[in-house]
Amino acid sequence: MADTLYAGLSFEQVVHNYNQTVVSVCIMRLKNWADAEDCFQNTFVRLYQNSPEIADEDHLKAWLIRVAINECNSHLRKSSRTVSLNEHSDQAVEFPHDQTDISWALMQLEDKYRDILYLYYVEQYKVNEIADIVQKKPNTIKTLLMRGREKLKSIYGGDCCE
Amino acid sequence: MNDKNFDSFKNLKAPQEWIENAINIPETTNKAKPIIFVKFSRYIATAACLVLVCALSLTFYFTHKNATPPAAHAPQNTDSTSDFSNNEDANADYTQSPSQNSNNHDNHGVVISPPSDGTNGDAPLENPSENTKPTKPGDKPIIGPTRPSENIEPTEKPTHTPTEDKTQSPTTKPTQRPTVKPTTPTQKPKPTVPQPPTDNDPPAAPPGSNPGNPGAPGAPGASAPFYTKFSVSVDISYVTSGEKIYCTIIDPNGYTVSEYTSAYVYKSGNSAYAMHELYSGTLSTSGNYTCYFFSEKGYTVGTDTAYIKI
Repeated sequence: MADTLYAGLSFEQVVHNYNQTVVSVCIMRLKNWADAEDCFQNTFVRLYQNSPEIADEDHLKAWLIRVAINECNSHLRKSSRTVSLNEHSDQAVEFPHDQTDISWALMQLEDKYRDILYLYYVEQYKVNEIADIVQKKPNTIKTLLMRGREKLKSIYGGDCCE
Repeated sequence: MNDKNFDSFKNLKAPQEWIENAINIPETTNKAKPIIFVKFSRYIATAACLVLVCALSLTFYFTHKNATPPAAHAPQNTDSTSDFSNNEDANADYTQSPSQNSNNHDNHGVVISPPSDGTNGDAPLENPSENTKPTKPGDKPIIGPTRPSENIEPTEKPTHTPTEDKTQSPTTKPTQRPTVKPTTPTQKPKPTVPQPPTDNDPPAAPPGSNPGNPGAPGAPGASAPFYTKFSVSVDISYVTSGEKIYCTIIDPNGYTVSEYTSAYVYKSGNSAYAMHELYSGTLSTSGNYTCYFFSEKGYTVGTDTAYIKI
C-alpha cells in the first residue's frame, strides 16, 4: 500500500502538493481550525484507504476537493447533533477585512453559495467542472454563481461590512 | 469583481504538524490492520456460540439419553413428582377387574379388586401369607403420609409398611407374578382391565408414555422393562367430571417412593380406570410396592400392589 501511486504521485507527494487545497476547502466549509484538521486528516485517510484509480492530477485534485467537502458535510451533520464547546473559541478562522481581499466576505455567505464561489474564483474551476465536483447540474451552478455574486457584493459593499 | 481577490484563501497553509500526521497515515493504517480481524470477530463469536450451544445440547442429549424423562411416562397430568426406580423384571403388572370394582364407587370408598382368575395365589410370593390375608370390604386403605384424604383419621400412622397396608386394604392383590415376561401380555392368566388389543376400541395410551409402553394395562407388549403399572377401577364420574386421581407409592420398607402423583384416568366402555406407572430402574429394594389411589377431594378410590424384583 505504501507504494501505491495516485496519478503518478506517491502518497507523500500528494500530501505535499495538495495540502493547501484541502486546508482551504476545510477552512472555507468549517471556519474552524480544529474541525478543519479532522477533515484534513480524514480526507487523506480516505485517499490512502480507498486508493482510487486516478488518471491525472486534475482528477486527483477534484477528487480531493470532493472528498474534503463530503467530509466537512459529514462533520457538520454530526456536530449539529451536539453542542460544541469550541463554538466561540479562538480556533475560529477570521480573515482581515480588506477592500481587495474579500475572503472575509466569502466566509459570510451561505454554504451553498460559498462552495460554488470558492471553486469558481479560488480554485478557478469552470462551471461544468464545478457541476461534476458538487454533483449538480451546470445550470444550477450558474444560478448559484449569479445569486452568490449578488450576495457577496451586498456583503463587501454594503453597510454590514464597513 | 475584477479588482477583488481571494488571496487569503490561496495563501492558507496547512500547519506542518498536519502534514506530518497525514504523511504518517500509511504507517498508522498498517499498524491498525489487525482491526480487520475485529471486524469479523462478531461472526467468529457468533459461530463459536453456535458451536458451544450445539455441543452442550449434544452433551445433554447423550447424558440423558438412557434416562427417561419423568414427563415421558407421567400420566396425563404432568405434575408428577414420583421417583423412579429399577426393576428389570418389571412383570408385576396387573390390574383389577373393572366389573368387580364398579359397584363400590357410590360411597367413594375403597374399590375392591379381588383376584380375577383365582390363579394369583399360585404365583411365587415374597410373603404369601401376608398377601393372602383376606381384607374386609369397605375398609379404607392406608396411603402415604401426605395424602390429602378426608377419610384418614389423624391418629393413623402416616407411614405404614406395605404388609400392614395390605392387610387393611381390600383392594390389595394377594399375589404377584414376578416371573411373567412383560413382552407377552397374552400369557397372563386373565387381565382384568380392558383388553384393547383384542377389542376394536383400545384404550388410549397416556400422552406421555413411550412407544414401548402402551400405557393401557393389558395392551400387547404391555410393559416395557423397568416400568410397573398400578391400576384400579374407578367411578366413571372421574372421567366425566375431569377430577384428578392421585396416587402414592410405598416401598416394602414403608418409605414413600412416589408421593401425590397424578394418575392417568381413562375410560374403556362403561368403565373407568386409574393407572400409574412406576419407573423401577433406580429402585434398590425388592418386594411389594403398594400404590394408593385417591381422588382430588381426598377420597380413596383403590389400592394396588405389585411385586418388584430388583
